[in-house]
Amino acid sequence: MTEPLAPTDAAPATAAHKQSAAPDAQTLSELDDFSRAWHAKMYGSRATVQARLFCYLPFVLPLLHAYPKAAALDLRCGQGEWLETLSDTGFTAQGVDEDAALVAHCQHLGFQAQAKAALLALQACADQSYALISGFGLAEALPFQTLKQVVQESLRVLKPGGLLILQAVNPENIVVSSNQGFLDPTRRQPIPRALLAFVPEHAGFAQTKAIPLNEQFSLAVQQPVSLLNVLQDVSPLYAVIAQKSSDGLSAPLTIKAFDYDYGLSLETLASLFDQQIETKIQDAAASAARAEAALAAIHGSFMWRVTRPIRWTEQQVEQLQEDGVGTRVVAFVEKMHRLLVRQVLARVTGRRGFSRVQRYLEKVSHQQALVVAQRHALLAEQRKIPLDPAIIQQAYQTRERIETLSPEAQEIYQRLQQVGSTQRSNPAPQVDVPAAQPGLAVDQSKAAANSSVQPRS
Amino acid sequence: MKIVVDLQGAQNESRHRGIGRYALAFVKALIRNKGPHEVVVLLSDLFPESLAYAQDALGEQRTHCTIKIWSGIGPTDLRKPENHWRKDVSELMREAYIADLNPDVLIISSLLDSPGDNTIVSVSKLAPVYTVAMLYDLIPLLYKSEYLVDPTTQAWYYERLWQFKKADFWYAISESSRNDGIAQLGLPAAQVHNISAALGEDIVAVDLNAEQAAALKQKFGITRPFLLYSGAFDPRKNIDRLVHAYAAQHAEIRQVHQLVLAGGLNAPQLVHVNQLITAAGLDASQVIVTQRITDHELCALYGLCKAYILPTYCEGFGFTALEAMACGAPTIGSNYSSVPEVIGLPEALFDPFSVESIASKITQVLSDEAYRAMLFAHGPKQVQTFSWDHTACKALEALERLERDGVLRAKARSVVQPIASLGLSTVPQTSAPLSAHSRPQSKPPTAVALVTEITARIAAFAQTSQRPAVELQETASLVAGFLPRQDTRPRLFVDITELHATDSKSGIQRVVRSVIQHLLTDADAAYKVELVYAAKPLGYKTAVAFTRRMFGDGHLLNSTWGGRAADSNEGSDALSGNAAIGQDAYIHPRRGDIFLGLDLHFNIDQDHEHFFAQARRAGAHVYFVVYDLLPLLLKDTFTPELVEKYGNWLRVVSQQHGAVCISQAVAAELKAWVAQNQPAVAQSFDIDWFHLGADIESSIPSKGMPDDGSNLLQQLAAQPSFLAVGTLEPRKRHGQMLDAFEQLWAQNVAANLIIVGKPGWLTEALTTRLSAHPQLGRQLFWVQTASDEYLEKIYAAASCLIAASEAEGFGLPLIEAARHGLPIIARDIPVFREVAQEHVLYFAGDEGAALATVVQSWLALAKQQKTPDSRHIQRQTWAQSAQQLLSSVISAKDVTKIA
Repeated sequence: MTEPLAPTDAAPATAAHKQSAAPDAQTLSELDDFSRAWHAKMYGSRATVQARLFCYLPFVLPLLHAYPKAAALDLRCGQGEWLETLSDTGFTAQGVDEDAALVAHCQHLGFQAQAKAALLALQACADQSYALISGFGLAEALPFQTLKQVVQESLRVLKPGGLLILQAVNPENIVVSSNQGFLDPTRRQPIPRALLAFVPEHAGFAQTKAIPLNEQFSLAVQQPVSLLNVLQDVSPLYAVIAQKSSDGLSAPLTIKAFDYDYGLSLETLASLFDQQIETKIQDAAASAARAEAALAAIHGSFMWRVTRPIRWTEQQVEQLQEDGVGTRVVAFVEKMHRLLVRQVLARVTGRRGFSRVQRYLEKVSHQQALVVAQRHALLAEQRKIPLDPAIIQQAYQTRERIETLSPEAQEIYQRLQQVGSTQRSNPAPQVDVPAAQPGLAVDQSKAAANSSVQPRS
Repeated sequence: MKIVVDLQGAQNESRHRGIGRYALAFVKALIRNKGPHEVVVLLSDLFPESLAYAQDALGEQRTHCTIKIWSGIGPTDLRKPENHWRKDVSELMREAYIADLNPDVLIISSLLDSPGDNTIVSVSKLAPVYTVAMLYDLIPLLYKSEYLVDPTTQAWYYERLWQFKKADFWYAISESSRNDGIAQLGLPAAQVHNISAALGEDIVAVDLNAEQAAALKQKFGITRPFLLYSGAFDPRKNIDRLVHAYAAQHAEIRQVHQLVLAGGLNAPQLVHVNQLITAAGLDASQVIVTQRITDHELCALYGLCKAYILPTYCEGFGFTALEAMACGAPTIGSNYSSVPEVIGLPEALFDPFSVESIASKITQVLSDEAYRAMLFAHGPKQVQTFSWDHTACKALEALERLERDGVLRAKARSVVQPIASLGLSTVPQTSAPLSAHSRPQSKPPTAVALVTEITARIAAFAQTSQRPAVELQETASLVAGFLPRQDTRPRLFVDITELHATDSKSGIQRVVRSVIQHLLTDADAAYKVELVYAAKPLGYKTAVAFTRRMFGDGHLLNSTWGGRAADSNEGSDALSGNAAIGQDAYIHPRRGDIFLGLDLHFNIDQDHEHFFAQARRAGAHVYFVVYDLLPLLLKDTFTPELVEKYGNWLRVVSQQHGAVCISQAVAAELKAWVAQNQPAVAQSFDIDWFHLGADIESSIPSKGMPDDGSNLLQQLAAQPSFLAVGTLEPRKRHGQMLDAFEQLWAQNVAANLIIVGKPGWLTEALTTRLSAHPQLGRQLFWVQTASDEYLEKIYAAASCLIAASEAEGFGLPLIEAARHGLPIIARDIPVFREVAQEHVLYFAGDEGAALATVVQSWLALAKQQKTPDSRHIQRQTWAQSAQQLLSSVISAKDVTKIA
């Protein structure tokens, strides 16, 4: 983090940089072979990459009105996609990159490019020589001090009303910032939107806007938001676009694009997601309420009552099929028997001369009640879950210890509690030695062995 | 000499392995040979499911030793940091318990085994005890890279080693273990004693007939005579070289034999062994690898094999070689470690590190008949030299020598460990006491000092502040358990739950009140009587407030709180200012206490059942008074819920130590019920009986006369009045009485019927009949509630008592009538025969007519003054009754055990 990237050529470097010159150069070229292939694989074809850059056109086109064939400087131009877009638009684009091979590639494509460190390239520029300075992924590749200097120099180098564009990976996008953002091995660390936006503001740019970009997800289309959307569909990139004040120009260079809102933030997606869930819950509750109301209406309706015999017959048929004829007949007979006993008992109770009958009937009715109760109890029994008695005994033992404290035990408990509170207010230095460290224990054991050899007197 | 053996080795994971079996066999032999010494077996209740197993495994030796169970707080698995505090506390609990036992020597059966469970071992951290540790082997120390692979296991092992070294004496199970201990740990040679080992009990030579042998061989795929190895497959067992040695055999030998490797393997070991076999150029038909086999199968294989080989180069003892020899297998083994001691024959040994040496021995044993015969003859002779009794005697001799030399006494006199000013639980405490504080004590620390010390140490632990309240409470409760009671007499807890809740003035309540009155005044002074009641949700509480209300202050010698000067002057508890006086506190029965369920509280729930189980486990005795079995014998006169509840209550009662019934008849019924419904406890459940007393004055009578009382008494006195006393219930057969008297009144017989009693259950019909009766107030009287005073007067005015119950527990009204000299007409049932003998007029039959006839004959007899005189009925006072009850509960042998 602390060592800056060294320049690849013999540009004047401070003493601190000199030491790391040779090895870094080698490392860089190795890396870039790799990163080129990786870049191609991960970011897609040239056309795809360029398509992503079109979102900047609303910002940069007004510059051409003020400065026809304006000069544009792309720091870290890479494979030159932005250079191409700029030239097609009408800018005179020049590129700077530290990787000589990439620079050669750009030159081969017909653009002007230099292999230089970004800061050095800027320092070599004249005041107010460019209308547009851009750095895609530059902010993350540079140490922060260097970044600040770059921004400062840009302010000097830009023409009045000129733009500085810095693009970076949006840390707000959880998936990108943790995973995909580091597809580029030279990227050092994510830089938050607020911080990057503050740098040009502090440097003295007149207008600064931080814009989330490049989201795939569109709110315009009313699609449901899934959790994955919340995690990965927040704008993956953002750009800080800063405009130098137009002092010195005849007419102020206004760029309308600054006035609009862009991008999809994490808060928006997350709250959409929550709202969705809320709505689903409410819908479910509402439909449940409706179903209950409908059911109540049905149960209260005349037709339901009228069809009771039919339903009863159906149920009986079902039970008959399930239990068999024999069981049903027996159940029926039992039921009739119970009814009969109850009726006769009601008539006979209290009448003289029928005491014996009454006693007999009472006995019978008790037995019947017991049989019915037992049947219910058996059903209930079947649902019981057998528990290991040892566990129950253990649980009881612990409960008994805790809930039946004798007065002496209460005192001891309070004493231990007080200790707790005094320890909390004056925490003693916690010596958190693990149970025993091998060497320590053996030494101590040897020491103890020696002491235990002496006879105790 | 008092020897305490810590038998966690038979409770933790080791109980499935050789160490557990050794520990059990050793303890049993020790108890068998203890002579005049006392052996206490100490078990940990952090392994609750193993308690029953360990106690059963002691077999018949169980009765010759004392089994004690100490309680700790678990889990204490050291591999997890959150258990450290609990482990430290449990160590203190264990040591305190041991100190309380005041042993001369403590033998620890399992110090270095079984990581990762609740085993608690610490040596003299709290109070000095002469400790003997069993040294089985130091294999993990010798082969660290195999056994102490991860840092936690290593840390655990070294901590245990450090404790191990703090012991005062060591029993090694073989010379080689002894030498390892001396060489590796620097144990002093004079303190390490080889007590050897012997054969496990479940290893017996198995004789199989031809078919069984064939079946067994077929099961394992054995087709040829085989060379057998059994055991584990750790690297030190040297299976690699064994397989190579077998492969190096001549082709003829290999073709005619097989190698059988018996024992359980886990998956990686199995893979390794299979690779080994393939690499050696052998295949599955030549080398058979079985999985885990039973002991029986193993013994059979020992008997069937051609030879047994033990190629290991590091063992604690080498039990399999001994087993093989005992089961008739010619055995060869390595000449390293303890194997030579076990085999005891130099010609049978080989160098385990040399494949040629192993191979040549295998060749010899498989082809040389004479050699094998020699080994076969040697085996049984060698096995004879090992016996558990021999081991135990060696151990005891060593202890007796130490006792003679005064070493044990010297240890007991050494200083108590000072209060942990270090307070750091994770740093091991040094065993050398601070010289500035050394104060020699001539007796072990008092319990109070122990408790103070433990509390201070726990308070000093670093983590105490962060423990949840329930853990602190549980700890406090365990620590307080060591405190001696203020009154050191054993307790007699008398349950008066129903009386405490509501005094329903029923017959049972009168019994309870009378009994406790006499217990509190006349009881055996050896016991302290405390009235208790069931507390919701669990446990029992002392009924201090109730006792004070009932009996007033200070009249009684033996009450729960007042009384003897000795009590109040007794040394106060060091910890508490005794704020407990006057408050109902939970009871914690200890060894020697007695719990008597005097009141009929059958609404018992599961928690109270656990309470009794706990009390029994702690060594208290639990007895219940059974009044009757009516809800179970006359089920239809009671509600179904009551029948079920009663049955459940009786089931709980039958799990306790015994029951005292109120008559012999009930005792017989209870015996029959238990034999039928709880046959498992029928043998050990003690059933006794006692008779109730009859003197109402001493049972705190209630007073009060209703307004129309005197009027009623006058009417009663006017003509012969027949009295029935008792709650209206179906079985009391008031209906029959009413029928009988209706017949009599229809015949214009001059007789009153007075019924004294509240309506009970299932009597709505009867109640209606009574209230609506035409004779009510004229010749029929119904008094629902009567104070004792009123009842006395009714008795005096009546002419005869009718006891028509179908069944009774005792029949207190009979006794009370007898006290008043009132003649009695009673149904002819066994319990009435028992209580009233021949001094009443009996009747039989369910019809009113039968009773009416008897009443008329009684009236006829009365005219001639020839009615049976109830004054001859034998009765006793409540004092005698209470004494009878107590004596069946406190037996003489219990009293001696308390001392």
